[in-house]
Amino acid sequence: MTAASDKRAAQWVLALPTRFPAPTAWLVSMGVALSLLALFLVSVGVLFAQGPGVWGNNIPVGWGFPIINYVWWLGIGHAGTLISAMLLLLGQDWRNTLNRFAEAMTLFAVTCAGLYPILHLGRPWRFYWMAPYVSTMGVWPQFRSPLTWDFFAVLTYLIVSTLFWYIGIIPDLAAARDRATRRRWQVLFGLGALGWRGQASHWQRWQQAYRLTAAIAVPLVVSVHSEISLLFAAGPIPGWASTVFPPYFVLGAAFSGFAVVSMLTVWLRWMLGLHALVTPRHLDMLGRLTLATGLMTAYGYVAEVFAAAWAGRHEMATLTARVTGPYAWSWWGAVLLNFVPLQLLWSQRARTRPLVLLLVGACATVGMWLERFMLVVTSLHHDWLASSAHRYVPTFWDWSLFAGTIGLFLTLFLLFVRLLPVISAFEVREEAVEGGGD
Amino acid sequence: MSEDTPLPTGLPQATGQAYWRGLDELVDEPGFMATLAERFPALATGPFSGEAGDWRRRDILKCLGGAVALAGLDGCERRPDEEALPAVVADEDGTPGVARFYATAVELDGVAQPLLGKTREGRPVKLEGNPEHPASLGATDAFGQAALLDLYDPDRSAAPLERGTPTTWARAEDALTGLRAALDASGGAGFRLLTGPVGSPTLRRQIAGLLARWPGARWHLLASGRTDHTAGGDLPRLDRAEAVVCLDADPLGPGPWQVWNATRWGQRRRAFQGGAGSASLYVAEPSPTITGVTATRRLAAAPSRIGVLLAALAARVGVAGVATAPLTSPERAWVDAAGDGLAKARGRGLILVGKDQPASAQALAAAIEAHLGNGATRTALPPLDALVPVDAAALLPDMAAGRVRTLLVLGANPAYALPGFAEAAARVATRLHAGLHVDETAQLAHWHLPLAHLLESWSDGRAADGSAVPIQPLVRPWLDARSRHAVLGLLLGDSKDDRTRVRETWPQLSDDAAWEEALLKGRIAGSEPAAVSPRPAAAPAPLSPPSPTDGLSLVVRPDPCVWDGSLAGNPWLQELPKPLTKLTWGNAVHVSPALAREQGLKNGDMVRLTAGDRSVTGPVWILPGQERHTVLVHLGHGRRAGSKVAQGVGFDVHPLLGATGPVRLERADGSATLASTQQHFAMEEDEFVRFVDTLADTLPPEPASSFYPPQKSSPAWGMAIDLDLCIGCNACVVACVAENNVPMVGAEQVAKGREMHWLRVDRYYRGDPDDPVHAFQPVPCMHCEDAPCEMGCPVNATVHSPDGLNLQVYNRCIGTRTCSAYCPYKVRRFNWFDLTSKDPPELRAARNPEVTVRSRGVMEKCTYCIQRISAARITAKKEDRAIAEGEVVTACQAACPTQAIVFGDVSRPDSAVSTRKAGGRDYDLLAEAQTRPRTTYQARIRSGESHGGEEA
Amino acid sequence: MWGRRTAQVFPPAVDTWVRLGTLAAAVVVLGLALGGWDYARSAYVTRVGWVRDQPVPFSHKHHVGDVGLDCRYCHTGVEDSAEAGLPPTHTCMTCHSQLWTGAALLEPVRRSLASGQPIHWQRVSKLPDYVQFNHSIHVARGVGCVECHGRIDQMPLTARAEPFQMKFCLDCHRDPSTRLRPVALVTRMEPLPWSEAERRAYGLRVMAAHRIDPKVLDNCEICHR
Repeated sequence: MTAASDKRAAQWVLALPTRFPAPTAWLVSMGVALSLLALFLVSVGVLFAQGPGVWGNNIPVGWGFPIINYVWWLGIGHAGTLISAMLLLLGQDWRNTLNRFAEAMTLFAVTCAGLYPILHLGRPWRFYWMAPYVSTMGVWPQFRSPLTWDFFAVLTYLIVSTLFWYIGIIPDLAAARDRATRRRWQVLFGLGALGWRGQASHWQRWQQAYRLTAAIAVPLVVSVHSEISLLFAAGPIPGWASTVFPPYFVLGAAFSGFAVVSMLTVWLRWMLGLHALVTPRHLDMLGRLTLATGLMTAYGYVAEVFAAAWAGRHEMATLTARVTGPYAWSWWGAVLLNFVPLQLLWSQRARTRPLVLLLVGACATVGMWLERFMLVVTSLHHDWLASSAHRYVPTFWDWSLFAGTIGLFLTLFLLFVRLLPVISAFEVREEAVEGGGD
Repeated sequence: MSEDTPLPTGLPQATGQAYWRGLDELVDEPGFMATLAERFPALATGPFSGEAGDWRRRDILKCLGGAVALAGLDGCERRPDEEALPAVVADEDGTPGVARFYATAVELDGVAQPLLGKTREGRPVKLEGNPEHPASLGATDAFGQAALLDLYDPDRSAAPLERGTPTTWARAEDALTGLRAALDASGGAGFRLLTGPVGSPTLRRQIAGLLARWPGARWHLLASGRTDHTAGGDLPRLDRAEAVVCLDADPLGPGPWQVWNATRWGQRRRAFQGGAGSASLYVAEPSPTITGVTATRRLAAAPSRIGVLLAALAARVGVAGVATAPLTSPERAWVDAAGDGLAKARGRGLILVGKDQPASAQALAAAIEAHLGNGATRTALPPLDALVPVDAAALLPDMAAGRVRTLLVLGANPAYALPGFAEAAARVATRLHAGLHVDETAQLAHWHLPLAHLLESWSDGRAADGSAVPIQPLVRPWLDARSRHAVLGLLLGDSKDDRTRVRETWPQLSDDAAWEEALLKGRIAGSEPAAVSPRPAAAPAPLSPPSPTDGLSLVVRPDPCVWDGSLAGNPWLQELPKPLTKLTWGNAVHVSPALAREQGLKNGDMVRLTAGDRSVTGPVWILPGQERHTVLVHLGHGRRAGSKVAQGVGFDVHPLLGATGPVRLERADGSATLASTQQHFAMEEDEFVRFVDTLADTLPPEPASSFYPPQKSSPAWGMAIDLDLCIGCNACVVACVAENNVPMVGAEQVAKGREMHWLRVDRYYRGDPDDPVHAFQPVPCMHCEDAPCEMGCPVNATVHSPDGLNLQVYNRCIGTRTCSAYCPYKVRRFNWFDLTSKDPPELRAARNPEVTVRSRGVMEKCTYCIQRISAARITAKKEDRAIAEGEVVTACQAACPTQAIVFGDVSRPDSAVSTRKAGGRDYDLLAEAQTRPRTTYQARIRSGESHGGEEA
Repeated sequence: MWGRRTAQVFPPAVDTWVRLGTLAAAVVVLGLALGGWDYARSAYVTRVGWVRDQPVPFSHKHHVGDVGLDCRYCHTGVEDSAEAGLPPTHTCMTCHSQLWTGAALLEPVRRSLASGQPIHWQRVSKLPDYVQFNHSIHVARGVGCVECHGRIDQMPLTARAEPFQMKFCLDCHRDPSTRLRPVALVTRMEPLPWSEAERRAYGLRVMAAHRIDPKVLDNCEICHR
């Protein structure tokens, strides 16, 4: 593709919000999203009115859907920062078409994830006790606890990825402002653009800020999910107490993240007709990343099985329970959905097929959720003593809250798609001008 | 500060104005106090009458509504105002905030269970066993612990009912006066009194008076197929028996004699552990009981085989002229073992035969004992008096035939427990009922009179050992109810108060000193019956030939938790897991694994159980260790009226009582969810419960779990649970519930795995499901020194105390449930809903004010009864001394009849708990989890032979 | 294309406004934090110095300050019970059957005695239900009433003297030395004629004598169980 076409594309992207190409598709999606959002509100209302007993959680399975979904969402949230920050620092220009909405996706996924640890509490109205603040009680949080660090991890991640995303979008907001004809768009973009006039000094400061934030964000990608993994690794529960969890969690997170990015890419590409910008090459790169992280996750599975084999009777029992127990479907589901369709991505032709990418992504997304289910439920429902073993059955409210958070995510994402440039136009342009790309 | 502590120099003595503490200091003018005293008698010191004391306590109880209403656990925000209501007259029972204990008792099947009632501000908050009384020795059973909740049952009947409509006692008294006149005229013709077993001497005296006054009257006894001990009988002395053989008998099982037998068994078994003689227990039974689980040698045998086994046993020990039938090899092995055991313990053996067995079997057992000269292992008790009630069964024909004109049901519930009563009752002109609840019988009665609970009335009773127990009220009735004595008194037209009645029964208590002494000790001196010589052994009658074993045999027993249904209104008992099945809230048709396989049944499948022409329908529960073709059902469920809690739980099997004819089991449609607190009972290669073969054996030493030094402190609290002594009787579980305000959650939540018991008794079996080895294991919090839970909590809500306690701070907990996720023993409990704030005032008054009531979303767990430790600590501090050994007794430990649970300071080598832990049978549960639990277990000893037998 | 100028969307002043707005937001956030902290300790929350409506306007100033009644004359439980206890109506009447027999103010007291119904006081010194406070041990160790209840002898109407918040308890439990006094002087209201140093010296001696260990004293189970 040529620089000229790229320029046109860039301008076209900037004009997207003001001349939205697919209003009906958007409205339909938004309708679905909003109804799910309503379900979310109802679920939370019921939860607060009656207590966590509305879920299926029990003793031994004190952690159920809330923790499963928390880890799942947070994992998804990883790809955005990976793509943007890491690939930015690595100078992978092709990321420029993907990073904007990948970051947005991260933002909204982390928001959904962040809700769960609070909703999951027995007394959610006391969640702030996890924060270190000067209180009339004269006591502090316990800093040995992985949950305390969760609190910081998620908060930091949310703040940094917001900053990164926002800094990144400023120039486009300015451009969009300048392109906008209607007053209300001008004001909207204008406020967001913070008076950006694209002077050299602006660009220079912007570069500093952007790369600096990226530099901060990259270690977060590793640290946050490593920390989350400690939530399990710190517990003496067969199937949890494993020192290699952190890397597995990070890789799994990235895997699920790329899976979702692939799906969104294909979807946006179709809905907004971005074929000119999101070329087969981008799909190819996405496919490769998904394949790579997926294989690493698979390695994690193998290593876990291998470890269990010599980690003693209880670990072995848990492994057997995972493979043959009442929740075996979650283990097999995870293995099949994560790694079988993945093998398609070995072939270039498959990778560049949007539909294939979409399906593989969908499978991996579901598969990774099943993995989290397997991790939490199978390990807890029968841990050490035969006497304390008990089945866990999620209730309607478990599912409704989960669906609700998906609604929340979609709503936010669709608003973003509608109101802001979904693709970093100036970076695309830059790439074009610098004769980047191929 | 003690006076000898030197003060810094320059300290002035009390300067400023002089403070005075009493009127006499202020006004030393003589006679001033006297004037006051006559104006205000309450100021005059000296013993107040019990009644007066009662009404003062009552007033305070009334005031307590607000004070004891424990609110939620919020942090630092502003709280609503609260009223404070001081007493009008100083409570002579001591200062508010200080607990007082009163000796009293409750009854089960007419057998008194001696208790100490702990009262706070004049309201009972906990019941303990009475250590002064031989029938308790400080221990209780689950029923005794739960009696507290019966007292506070909000559904108790509050006012007399005339044909179902509330009325006044005045009108009831008129009615009874009229009735009295009529009976005097007719000499009592057509009058029948129906009661449960009556142990109270005072009540029996009243009944005797009634029968003497109205010769035409009859007294009927409703025992629902259980024995009436008041007729006298043998009292087993397990403490003296070195070899016990139980044939379809369950001496350790729930019932009026459980505490007596279990305490004695505990004594025997502990002596055995100490090397003093054997303590072997051979049990042959159709369905596993806690006696069977405790047995050193158990055999699953059909009821019809008991006679055969007995005959073989007789032959084995050399009783002449007994016809024996062929035995299977397991039976043979068991008989040999039991026979040898009895032979070795000649003179110190004991044979107990279930009362469902024919008299011939009883006689043969007696013959064997006579042959072995086992006299000392049982005490024969005489009948309490000459009164002999007629069995209730005889009442129905009379009623149906219209021979009964007036029926007074006193504290019994025949409409539920006596099939056919309702129909027959229609022919009775006047039906009166006195009871705690408006139950099935009350609904049939023309008059219902609310009875006062024993814990709020004056009475007396006979304990298991036959000695008499005075029963004094712990609180004045707040309902308009009257005692059973008062009700009979009304009928007989004597208006004495109950205290006088009781004292009249006991001439030796005529002087106040003796009376006070009796109330203080909770026993009436010299009331023990003179032991009569045991019945001469009848010539062993030929045993009835065993019925063909291909058919099913039906065993009907009272429910181990709600007994005959009279306790079905008690949530603590409804939610108490049954020892063998861990089922709560209801009953089931228990079948053997083999039978379940044959008929393709699984837990919860509905079946129709038919015996002759009667049948019931209920869900199946498969019980490993049950004899192949035995079907077991429990009485006491399927209540149709009475306490709301009782209604609609389980199904009623009374119709099957005494049913004859073949027993059949058919699959009915549908299935039910049974609320069991345990889903996996099989202990495969795991060693949760560990065994050693003989007394001499010890467990292999554990490898050092960690190179960190163990936590050091003094005191360092720890607990030792001897699984060789535990009989799984559940007394500890209910004691814990009562002490720690543990909420009940109901069947649905239990089925979801959300029961709240801080202390659970796990039950395992190992081996062939048709004849496995069973074991019980009480599991409180382990109070790990390296506690995983503590590390998980983000807000420091679960922390370690310097004296080794693993604490849960409810008001700090935000409910992340991490502690529970990390707990290898899963002993933590979570408030999934708000379980407490909607409790009615009665239940609030029943709570222990020293333990915080937990709100929604908060984790809770066993605290080693921290409130008791703190109380001891504060007392010791005030007296400037260390906490003494045995000063802290946890609720579970106090209740345990066999003293399986020992608690104390592990930093003292001489403490009881250290001694236990030092033994060779001590082990950590899940040592591989490396948590360093402070609660440890002592392995079970398979053999009961002092010199190291070779059994099991 | 960045060079192309269109009609400005905002006048230059907007820059200033945005900057000011951001500043204001920061200030507001800070203010909220400080305000919250202040509110949590305010008399509105802690009720320090607040007077409740009581059925009888009982004056500790009169009974303790003027008449010189010792606290324990009415609060009899304080030495051997967790609860100090409010006096039963009879205790009031021991004196008021002689003094102020007709006073209208005392009508509720007389009514209570006659009817046997308790007087409905409004609690002033109230702790949450999950706090297990024990008066007797504090008295036995020589913690003066005044330490928590303030100069009750100067209160015509009783009010809470200290914020009964966890921090207040912990401050003392973490360093009791300056709060201890001879047991004989526990109910004394006037400040002890001691210097701070003397007081601490004495406190440390008592702590040594009774093995009072602040490290243990601020454990959760000391108050919460």
